[in-house]
Amino acid sequence: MNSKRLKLFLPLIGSVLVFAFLYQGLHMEPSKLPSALVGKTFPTFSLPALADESQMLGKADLIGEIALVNVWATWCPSCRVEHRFLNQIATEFGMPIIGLNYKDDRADALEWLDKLDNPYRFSIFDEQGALGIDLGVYGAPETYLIDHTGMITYKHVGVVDMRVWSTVFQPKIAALRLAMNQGTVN
Amino acid sequence: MIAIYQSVIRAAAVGLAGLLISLTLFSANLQAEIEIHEFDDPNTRARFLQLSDELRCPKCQNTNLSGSNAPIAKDLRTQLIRLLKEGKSDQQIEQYMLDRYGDFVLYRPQLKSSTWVLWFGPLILFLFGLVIIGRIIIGRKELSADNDLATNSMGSPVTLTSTEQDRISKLTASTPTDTNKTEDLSI
Repeated sequence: MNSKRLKLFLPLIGSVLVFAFLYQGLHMEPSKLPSALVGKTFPTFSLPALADESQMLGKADLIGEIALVNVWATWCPSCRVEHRFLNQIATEFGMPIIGLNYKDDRADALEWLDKLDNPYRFSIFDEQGALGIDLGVYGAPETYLIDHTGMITYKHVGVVDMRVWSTVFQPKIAALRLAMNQGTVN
Repeated sequence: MIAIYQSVIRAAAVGLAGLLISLTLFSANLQAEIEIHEFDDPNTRARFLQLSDELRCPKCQNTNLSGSNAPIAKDLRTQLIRLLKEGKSDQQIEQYMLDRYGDFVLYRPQLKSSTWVLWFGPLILFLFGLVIIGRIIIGRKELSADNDLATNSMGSPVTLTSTEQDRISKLTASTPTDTNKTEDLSI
């Protein structure tokens, strides 16, 4: 085989490479952006609680245990889909979930929780979306996984369902728990 | 029968007219309210327009902040104005957005290791193409120089020795089919 013969295969090799590149693009979701917040600490904030206008919440209220921070709103149809599963996570798996009620109406939100059950330890009422901007929220629902120090370790855009929970969140939470326990032992 | 058809057509016409009227009224309601921003000086206004053109709406796949009606784009425009009024520089504002929404928000991404391909990929492909075209052109020139026996590479006429003349006459005497065969073998 001389080099001229090998050159004949160049177009084939080239087209295989292009095909592989385009094929993997088929399985990517361009609407899911990598979060700039992963690996950073949760932004500081001072916002009222959804349940009680006079109670101010801050970053300190989130720190202490591994938890999910779920961005939700009554105007978001996917949040309704997700809500039932969040109830399941909270009751069956005992996962602490903190709600971030994003650009919503307080009365509507309270009615929603009353009707559909409340999976949240508490909900932060972010009427203007200020904390949303600091978190890089661009659509609800979004779910953040924070560790016991308040560091954001993962962000999920879209509905959390059984598949996402068991394939993505559970392994990450297990790893965080392991790291946390080792940290306390040492 | 005809009377029934006529009444059906009339009913359809009335229905269609009603639909058109309600559509016009409805779309009039839907017309987006115009956002009014007030700026203290034309310079800030120009910077706002420039930045909202160059920042990408994170919710939309390919629309800038100035061109999007998405609620998040509206919020970010408001935030942009707040930052401008606070006296933040363009660079600080870009960093602010970058810290929250990642590289995606900048239509002109910052130069760093993860964006090298974006910045230099096209240039490298262009140079690669130039090299290929160059090689093809040089290859053709060499080919034509080889075919042209009368001139050497400097373009001056080539003189042949008597032994070379003998070889040429021998080679040209052989049959064309023979030469084809030898060519086939040489490939």
